[in-house]
Amino acid sequence: MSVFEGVNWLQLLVTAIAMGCIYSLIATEYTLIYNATGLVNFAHESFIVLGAYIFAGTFERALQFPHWLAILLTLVSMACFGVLVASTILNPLRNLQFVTYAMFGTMMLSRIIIEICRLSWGSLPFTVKGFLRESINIGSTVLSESYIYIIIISVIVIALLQAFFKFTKAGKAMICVSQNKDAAALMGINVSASINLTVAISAVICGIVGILCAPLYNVSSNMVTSAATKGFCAGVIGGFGSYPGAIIGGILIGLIEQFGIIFIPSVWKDALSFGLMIIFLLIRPGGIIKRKKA
Amino acid sequence: MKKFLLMLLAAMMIFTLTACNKGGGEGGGDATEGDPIVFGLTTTVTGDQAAGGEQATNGATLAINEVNEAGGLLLSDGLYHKIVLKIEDDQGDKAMCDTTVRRLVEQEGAVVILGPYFSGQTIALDETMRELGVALINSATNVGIDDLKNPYLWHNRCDDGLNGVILGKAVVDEYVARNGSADGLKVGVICGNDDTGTGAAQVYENYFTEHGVDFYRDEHDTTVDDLTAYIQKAIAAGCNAWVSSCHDKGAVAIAKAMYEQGLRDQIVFMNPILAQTNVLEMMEPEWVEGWACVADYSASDKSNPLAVEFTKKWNEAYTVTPDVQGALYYCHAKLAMKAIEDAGSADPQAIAEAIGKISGYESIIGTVYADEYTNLIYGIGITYIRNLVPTMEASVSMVSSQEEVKDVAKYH
Repeated sequence: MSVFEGVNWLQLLVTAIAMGCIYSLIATEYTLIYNATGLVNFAHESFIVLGAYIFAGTFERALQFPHWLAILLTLVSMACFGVLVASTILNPLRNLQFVTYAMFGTMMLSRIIIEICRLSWGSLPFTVKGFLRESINIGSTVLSESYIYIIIISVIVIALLQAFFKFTKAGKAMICVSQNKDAAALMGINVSASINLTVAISAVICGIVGILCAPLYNVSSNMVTSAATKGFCAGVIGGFGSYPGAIIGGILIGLIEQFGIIFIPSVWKDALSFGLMIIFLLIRPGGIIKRKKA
Repeated sequence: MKKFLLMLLAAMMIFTLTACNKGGGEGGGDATEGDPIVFGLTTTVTGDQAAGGEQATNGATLAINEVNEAGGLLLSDGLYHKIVLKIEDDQGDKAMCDTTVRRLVEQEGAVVILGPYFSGQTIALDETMRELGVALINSATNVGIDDLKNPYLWHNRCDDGLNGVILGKAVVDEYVARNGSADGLKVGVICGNDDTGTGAAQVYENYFTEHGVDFYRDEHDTTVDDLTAYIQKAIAAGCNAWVSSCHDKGAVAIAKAMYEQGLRDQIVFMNPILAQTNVLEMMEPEWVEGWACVADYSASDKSNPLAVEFTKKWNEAYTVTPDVQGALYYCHAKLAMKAIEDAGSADPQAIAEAIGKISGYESIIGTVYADEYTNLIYGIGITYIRNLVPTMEASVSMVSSQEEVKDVAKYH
């Protein structure tokens, strides 16, 4: 029997799109901060982990709030955290003479957040029992509830983000800041406040990713290490700094890694994403959608 | 005069009380208590595997406290020596581990090392332990450690070679019990791609090849959390029974992916990771109902009096639930103390030699028989998961005497 005969392609497709959505959200979050500050935020994995811990560790397990309230309070907490990080760390860091130093600063911030999580919520991985862990049968295909929610929520988040940029004054200001900070300041835009807002939105997206990943990976300090790296790859492949590029890059990686390992040994799954990123860097460094320069 | 007599009486009472206090307390201790003996524990205090490090620390501390509260170890100098545990954080890193072990031995004066957590770290310490001349006892299971033939590296746990043979046989037996024969059996060998997984996968492959059992082998990156496509490939290959050796995240990912793809009521046998409390807490009951694994210890085990006693002591001392790692490090510390008592000395070389002579020592994870390959344990329990509770339902011992140890050498 050929290996391909027994494969449930629909199941793989749904999984690929769901995982692609996670990568897209992570890439979008990278893009937001990169556009706002010119920095690649290497602490974003820890932002996601923090969101997951606040949701699962505090509001779900410790306080036993209903899911909707736990989600709401997590997102509010993450927004506040984002403003705090932006005003105390990212805003000062972006003015450093060497960007490399600033990026190392975000790496160190990541380590600190991870250790705070471990010390605050303990070192044992845990999960939220019963949260997005059901399955839905469609014929011979069994679809995970978490994958379906990931796809739906990702589409909503991306649509809301696009609407925010297009129809709100704050969103347009963020676009201006991302294109040229000096010009934006001359036009009367409060650049620091705009960056604070951007990082707050970015932290909220991290919170959403953390909540969505909790049933998928369980909550631990390294729960999204692999996904965070692939999110970065998605940003590079799609075109760093481009929002549509982040989405395309994420979905592409999801599809390639799920379908790719049907044809090659499974152990090469991660190498597919990273190999693709290197190919893009060599052949088309600007990514699929090159970011327009101001 | 009366006043003088009263003062004299008071002075005499104070003198007498002080003397009594010295005789029954510190003074007596000074007469019989020798210098403390230092044990070094290198483990993952921080980092991804900090939970295992916490269990290791608690287990070793519990064993040491038991001995210290009883007065310490009586050595050939006629003095009681208390044990002091020095802990270093190696973060699960090979290079860091070399530094922590050297610091424990050279600066803290450790006469025996407990840990590290990983097999890879243990193998990397080969030259260091020979150079330091200090025995190391840990839970490493990689069969590659046997090849080193290092008289200082002792692994106090049934290794992957024996586990693989036990699990390989168990999966075939279970299939035959359900279906009447092994016809149509195809075993999915699903393992991580690290030293633990690949070593075990090779043992499974050897076992199934030797016994004419059809199998499909695939390995996954240990950092990968979504194994949908991986399980899809195994289903497409026709697997109808499974063996697996992986780490905590891998075990959860496999269980989740199999459940989500409709694989229910499967025959699944795993390495001991499945019985760990933290792993089961990440699963839903229906994911792993009826799955089995080999397990050194289970907190719910009521059949082994030593294990029951250990669980009771642990629960009195700590709030976290004991798991395999806690039990193992309790045993490692106990074993080190037995070796010191047998040697009658805290000399590192004498301790290392005494470990090599241990035979028939009963511990909570089995009977200890040292061999030339630096293995100490040859038996393990078979545990079934019932509503997320590991239930020890059988135990397998490959040897029942020191003579039989040679017979299992072929699996190393």
